[in-house]
Amino acid sequence: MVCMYNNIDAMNVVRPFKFFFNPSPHYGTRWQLFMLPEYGFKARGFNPESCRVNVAQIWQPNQNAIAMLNGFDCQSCLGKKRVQVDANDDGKRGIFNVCADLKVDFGCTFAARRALPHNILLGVYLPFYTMQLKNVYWKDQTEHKSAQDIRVHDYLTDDFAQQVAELGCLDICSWRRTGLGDMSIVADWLQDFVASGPILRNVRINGRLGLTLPTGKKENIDKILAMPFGYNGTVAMIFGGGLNVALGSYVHAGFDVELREIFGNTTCQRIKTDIDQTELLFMQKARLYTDYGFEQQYTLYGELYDLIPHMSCKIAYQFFKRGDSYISTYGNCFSDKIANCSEKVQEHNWHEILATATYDFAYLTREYMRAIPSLSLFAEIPFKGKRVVVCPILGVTINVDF
Amino acid sequence: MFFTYTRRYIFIGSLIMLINAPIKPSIVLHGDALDQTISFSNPVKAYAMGSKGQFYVAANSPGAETFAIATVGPYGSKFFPLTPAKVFFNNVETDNPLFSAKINLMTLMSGINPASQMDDYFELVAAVTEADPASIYLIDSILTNRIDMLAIHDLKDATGTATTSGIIQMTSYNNLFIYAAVQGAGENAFGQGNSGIACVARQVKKEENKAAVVGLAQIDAGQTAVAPEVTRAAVLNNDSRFLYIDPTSTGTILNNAVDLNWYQELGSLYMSLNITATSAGNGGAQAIVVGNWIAQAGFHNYFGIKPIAFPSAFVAGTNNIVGAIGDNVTISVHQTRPLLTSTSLKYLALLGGVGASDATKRTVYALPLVERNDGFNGMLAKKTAIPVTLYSKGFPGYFLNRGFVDPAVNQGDLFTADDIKVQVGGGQMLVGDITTILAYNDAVYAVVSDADPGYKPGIYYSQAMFDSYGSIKCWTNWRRVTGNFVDHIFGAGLGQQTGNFIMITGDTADDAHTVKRTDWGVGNENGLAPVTRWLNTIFPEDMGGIQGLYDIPVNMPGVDNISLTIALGKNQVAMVQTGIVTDDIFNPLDSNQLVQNPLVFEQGAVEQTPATVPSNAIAISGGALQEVGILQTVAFIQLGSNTRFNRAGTFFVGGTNGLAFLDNGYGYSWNSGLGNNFSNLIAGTAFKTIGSYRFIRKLIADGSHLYVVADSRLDRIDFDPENLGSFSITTLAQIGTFPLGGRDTILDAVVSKTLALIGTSKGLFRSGLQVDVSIAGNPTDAQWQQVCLPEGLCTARQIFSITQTGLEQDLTTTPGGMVYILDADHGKNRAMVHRFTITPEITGGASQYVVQELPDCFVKSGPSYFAQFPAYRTWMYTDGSLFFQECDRNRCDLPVFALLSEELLSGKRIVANKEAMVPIDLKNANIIQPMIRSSASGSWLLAQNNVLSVNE
Repeated sequence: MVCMYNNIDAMNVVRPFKFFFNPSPHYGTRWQLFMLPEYGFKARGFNPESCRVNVAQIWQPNQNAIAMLNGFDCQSCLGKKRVQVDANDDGKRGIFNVCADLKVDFGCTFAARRALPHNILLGVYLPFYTMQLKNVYWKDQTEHKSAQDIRVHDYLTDDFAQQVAELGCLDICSWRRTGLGDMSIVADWLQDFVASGPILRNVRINGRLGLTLPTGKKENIDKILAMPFGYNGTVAMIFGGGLNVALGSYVHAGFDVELREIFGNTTCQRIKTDIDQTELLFMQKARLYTDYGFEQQYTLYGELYDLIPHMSCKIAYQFFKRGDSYISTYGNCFSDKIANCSEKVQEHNWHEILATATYDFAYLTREYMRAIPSLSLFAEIPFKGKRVVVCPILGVTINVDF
Repeated sequence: MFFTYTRRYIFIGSLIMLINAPIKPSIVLHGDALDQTISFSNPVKAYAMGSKGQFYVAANSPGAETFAIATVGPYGSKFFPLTPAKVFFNNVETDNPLFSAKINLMTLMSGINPASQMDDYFELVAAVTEADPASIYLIDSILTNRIDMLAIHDLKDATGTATTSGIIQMTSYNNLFIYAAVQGAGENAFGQGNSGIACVARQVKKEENKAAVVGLAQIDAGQTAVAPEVTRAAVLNNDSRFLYIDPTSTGTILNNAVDLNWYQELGSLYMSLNITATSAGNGGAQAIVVGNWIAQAGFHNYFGIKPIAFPSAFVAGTNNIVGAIGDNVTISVHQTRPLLTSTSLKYLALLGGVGASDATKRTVYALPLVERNDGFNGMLAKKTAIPVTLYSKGFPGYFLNRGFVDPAVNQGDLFTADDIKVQVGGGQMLVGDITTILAYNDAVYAVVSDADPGYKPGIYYSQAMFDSYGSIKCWTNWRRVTGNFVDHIFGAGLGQQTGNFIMITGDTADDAHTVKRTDWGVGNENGLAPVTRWLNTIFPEDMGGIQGLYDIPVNMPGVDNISLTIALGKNQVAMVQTGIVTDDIFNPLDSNQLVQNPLVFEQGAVEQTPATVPSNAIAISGGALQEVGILQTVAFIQLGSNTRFNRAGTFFVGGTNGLAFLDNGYGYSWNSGLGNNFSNLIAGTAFKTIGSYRFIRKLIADGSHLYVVADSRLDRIDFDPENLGSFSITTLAQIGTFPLGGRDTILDAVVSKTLALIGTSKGLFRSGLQVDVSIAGNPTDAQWQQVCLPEGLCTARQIFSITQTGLEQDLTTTPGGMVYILDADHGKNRAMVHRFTITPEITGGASQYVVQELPDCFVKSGPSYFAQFPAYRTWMYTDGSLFFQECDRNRCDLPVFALLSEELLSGKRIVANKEAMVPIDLKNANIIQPMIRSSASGSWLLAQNNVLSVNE
């Protein structure tokens, strides 16, 4: 189960700050208020080989119920259950093929930005999500050919949900969760350099520095795939920057690099106690210090603007990567080596296409109103990844500058 | 009762057509013979087994050319010739004196090479030819294109100046010396003239940063100063006073029979003789003497020979095995072998005893030896001596050694031939004269080349059992090994790295052309191949294969003069007769007698009387067996000594879903025991379920009681001998009832008379000291007591018992038995073995059984386990010389079927990382059942889920 401990943000939806969908501020306004309601389609997963799989199979194609019992003292409940089951893992025995549907029913980020001197914009972002895991199906691969098969059926897999609930307080069924994400406070700095060439009209550089605060709903380690809506109770530092050039009258192009350093923290998590254990079936809870991997996000984009009056269309390719994390256990009860061979602490990444279409009402209202609205439609279309659940997203940006 | 059944018996002929499995008989190892059925064109006789499994043979007639000496590795199938026409002596290429020679004697020089700067192991072949019986040749180096040899010619006798008339025996097995029994000059019998023991050194010249072999040289073994060119053999002849119990006696060494054996752990050479004391009165002699190198201040060491026992320890009129007092008494010790037990004690195994040569070839004894007691080292220990353990100084005091320190000095201190502690095999070998003995760890093997009329030849073994001090308390009865009961075997060696036997076979000892090795496969056409073929057919892999395999020995109550192999699987049981008693002699069935007219019944009942066919292999499936599920275990009960029933027997099977027995309509399975061709098993007998059980792990029959070991309970089912259909069930242990918790599991059990041992997930428990489990009424009555598994995991997964008879139920029969406890935790991937001895005691007129741990320890502070495995193991098996371990497949990791190191000793930690995979193909296997040894043929049988394999 569980544990997305180190996998916070192993889902493209759950990110506290998405710079690409932020509306551009209008010159002369001091405040910018906007919200980004979004709808997620059925999530898909990518496994360690970057093949598309069900969301429950992003780490392993199957879950191992026998290995789940390994690594415990033989006088513990789990150890005694292991003795009772008394069967080896032949590749089918005690193996579950797990499928589930993960869906982000609704998400929305509320943001406010204030223009400060020296071309600085200071923004606060607060996301909110509701998502559900449903149609969870555990298909037992155990045969009925040997005594070991019968033992595994009888003692373990025939009432598996009840067994894991008793043995490890783990709920392997459906869930629905709603809550806030991590709040972000980010300062953007923009600087234009006007050029007089026939093609290159302007160069804009930007820099970004921010912080996320642990306001998000934390991971529920007693449910499978119940990932946190943020950085699971820790703070992250965001810094990044990019360059945007105006080419001719209608085209913008640029790139952006955003890096995040997530501060390590100590939390109660489920850990791997045996090398053969699979990620959804960790029975052991322990307090762990997690040293998170470095996050990197690279974006290349192009924009057509004013080709149709007051409209702009932007498209981008974005690559996101979280490096390997490292977890440390306290005391000698558990092995760091085994805990860190978990797939969940390994690198994960995704590739996606981002697109927005914006209608800027400024051209219509500028002369007569104090507030300048704009409206964008945006889409996030992930197409590849590794150890990650990704979800195609369709959303709207509603923005008011004043 | 009426039965409707279809007649579906299938004959073996049609089954053979269905089988596609390759036939792989025990391997004939190929030498120079063109005929593939034999190894060598010339006969072979002398042989030697290296400690790493290398086997050497030597030609017994001239003309073998490069194969005069040949060797084969533990995994090889072809001999490599070691005697090319040209070799190098002192870097000069010359004709090879061993080329095409008849080799009289051969031994190995082995150990850490003193000529190497590294601690590398070496093994060199030393030989004596018929053509030059006073010379020793040593093959000192074998390279791809070059063999270097050393030689010493004209070995001197005890005078040190005269050349011996011949070397009659030779040994080494150390890295410094070759010891040779030399006849006196001009003599033709050992003992006459100046015969003695010549000591030949492989001289190594050491200089700074290098060492070089100089050559072979005879070392003066004498005690007194002589001229440098005089190299005396140590005197051993008819006049040697130490041979005689009364120094004034006279006697004669007989038959030119001398056997030499180097005991590396004691640094002693054992010389055994056939000797007769010709003096009357209190004369007497000893047939074994011990030689040691003794340091002399200011002078060279000398080779001192002393008797194996103090003369004062012998008692007139008593057979003290190695010697006796009496008129013209003859003592014949034909062979000795060092026996280093797993408890780290040193024994000497010997073939022979008091009596004439021909009358002493069926008795093997094992006698304790003294060590760490200057002046007495290597001599016989006092029979009541308690071993002393030596630890390193300081904390924690690591285990260093264990030994007997008290020598037998006074009368009554020596063992007698009647003492069961020293009787290897539990007594005389009944099959025939023993040609040779082999000793490996806790087991002694005896080769019987020519069996008495009615018996079949072969190799037999006996395993030592220990008391709580680690001393041998008794030996198991002789049991057959190797599965080869057809060939005449004249020499053998056990590859402890592979578990395979190598055997020299032929028509006579002087005309043996073939070297065979046991091998894993579907069996030998002269062995169990018909059994494996049939069982592999009726237990196909897609039905889970064989899921339980049992050997039912001839002495099992319930069978009548036959032995059986029983295979279990999904809803099916198969019984195959493997041996039969004819004229009071038990023998394995020949291959053409095995699986005669097999019958397959599919309605859960015997549909045709097997004896009328006649058939000696039946399989029953369906019917009530369908309810029992996957069959796991069997038991026979015999309800015999009563007036109404004459040895009525009941056959039980237990499985995942219950318990069933064969019911002939009267509540039991057959009358008068299950005999040849399953006589007394009659048509209409059908399986019937009994009780309500899940996951039965084991059934134990003891007397009129059947003990049912299930995951959650241990029940005793009592049958009424006067009404066999009547029974009552009593629960003796149950999870959730003291001492077991609700989440515990019962994993194994052994019951013998009043004692029960249960292995559980909570540890090992025994029934109370004053409790009789055969009448206990409930778990409280059983008074379960925990038996500590020191430094263990507390999961007693398997209780492996060793008894004198081979029947687990005899564990408490005097002198008691031993149990090995496999303490294995799958979750932590660990496994270890503990050992306990079971000792019957009479206290206050009542029998009780003491369960005591063996003195296995690593440090002084306390007891520990005996051995630790590298990882989790499901089963273990030991016959004393080999320590098998098994583990089922784990995902992509192949099943493990391995041997723990032959160096397995109490207090030695290194063995955990030293395991050797048994050479068997397991790549398609998933589950492997506990290995069994067929009590009839001696073959190993290993059931995997995809195939039944046999080693023979």
